Amino acid sequence: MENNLIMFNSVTLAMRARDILGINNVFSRLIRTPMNLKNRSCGYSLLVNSDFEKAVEILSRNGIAYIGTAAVDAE
Amino acid sequence: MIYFDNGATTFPKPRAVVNAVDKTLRYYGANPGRSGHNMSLKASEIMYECRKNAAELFNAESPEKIIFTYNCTAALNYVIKGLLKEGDHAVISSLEHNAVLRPLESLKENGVEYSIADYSPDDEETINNFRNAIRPNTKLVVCTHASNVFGVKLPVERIAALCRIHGVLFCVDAAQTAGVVPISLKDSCIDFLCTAGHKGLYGPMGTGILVINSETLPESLIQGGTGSFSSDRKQPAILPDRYESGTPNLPGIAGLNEGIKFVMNRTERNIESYESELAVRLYHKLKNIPGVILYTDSPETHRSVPVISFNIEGLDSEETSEILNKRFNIAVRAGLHCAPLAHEFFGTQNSGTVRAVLSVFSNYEQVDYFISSIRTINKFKKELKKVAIDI
Repeated sequence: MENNLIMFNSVTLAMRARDILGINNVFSRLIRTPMNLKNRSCGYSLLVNSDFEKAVEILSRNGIAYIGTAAVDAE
Repeated sequence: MIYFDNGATTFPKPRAVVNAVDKTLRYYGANPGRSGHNMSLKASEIMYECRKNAAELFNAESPEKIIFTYNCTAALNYVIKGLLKEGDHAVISSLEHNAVLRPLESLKENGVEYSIADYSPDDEETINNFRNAIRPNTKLVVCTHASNVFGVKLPVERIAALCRIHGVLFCVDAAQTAGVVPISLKDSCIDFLCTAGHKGLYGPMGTGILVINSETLPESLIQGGTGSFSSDRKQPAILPDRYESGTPNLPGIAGLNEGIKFVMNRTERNIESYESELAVRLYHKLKNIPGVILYTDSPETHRSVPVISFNIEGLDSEETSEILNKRFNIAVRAGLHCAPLAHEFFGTQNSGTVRAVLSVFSNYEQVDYFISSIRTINKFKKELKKVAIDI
């Protein structure tokens, strides 16, 4: 399974990332980070089902710090 | 009732503000930033939207730099107590509210010192007074954008530039100006902006904002649950979580969001222009009443916000306020307005003043009724003095 999840430490940052992706026509959905993926953190993630690489590149270009990426079953 | 006590808190609030509080309590009353269910996410969205709008209003770098507090006093405490340590020195103006003065006075016990730079109607002189007050160990300058008692503005952008030259952090108390005077932090040397949410931003009481515009961050004064980094025993360093522990005032923030949108729709320029027209009318009509004492020049927009302090000869400020309340159904605030420094500076520390503060909901008819009431009180002050002490 390919990566489709971008993880953040705060809900505020996750929402800002979602807005920036939206401006760039990349659709994402905010979810709570699954427990098995948490690294000493409660947090929120963006589920990105297409254009994942583009999404990561957009966030890096905009200086949005995320704590990691992962693959989850999105169904 | 005519409400001219808008310096304490604005009233009424826009209908959208009231509706947002009501709707949040009815439908979105979950804890934001804690859970993944729809209602919690909706609550988080409300907070985020308010952060975005506040960031746009103040031209802040990003929504994360908007910190929600419970009032302007809390925001000022976060900055003052979060930055100043033993051996540090701060400079404040002679117009400061107790929200600035008291935290600094309490820090004296921890070896922090502060100096007071006098305000002057001449901006050059004010800048010189600040320049002369800065010492090698000065870490922070805090000053009000406009006096909550006399309405006069301080040249904050020039003070900010002075601070930047001296490597001193600069914090502005915008309690009386946010929502009335345009404030842009982009390219500004202001490091911290503190304001109330319930005054010129028309939000509910129990809301305030700290805007961070600096790489230097104050220590957090309150630690606790943030919904982030939960297994870490240390307070998160990231913004806004660093300063927002515990369940936030979501209904208040929902209302504040609508208040900010209300201000943005009207624009601060239009609000300032309208309120200033009313204030200038009020000022000049008061000035034409023999026996009324005013303490400042006319409240033109470039020098003042629409805050007018006055007294009636032969009456205590509290007596005037009480007569206005009992006989004329007019709400104003009298006394020292939690700003003894400003009253000392203007020589009104013994009498206090009667303060009239306008809002976008004030109008010409109210101003004229207010003036006719003052004329009546002035004319019949001996008789009306008894009204103030009637039970």
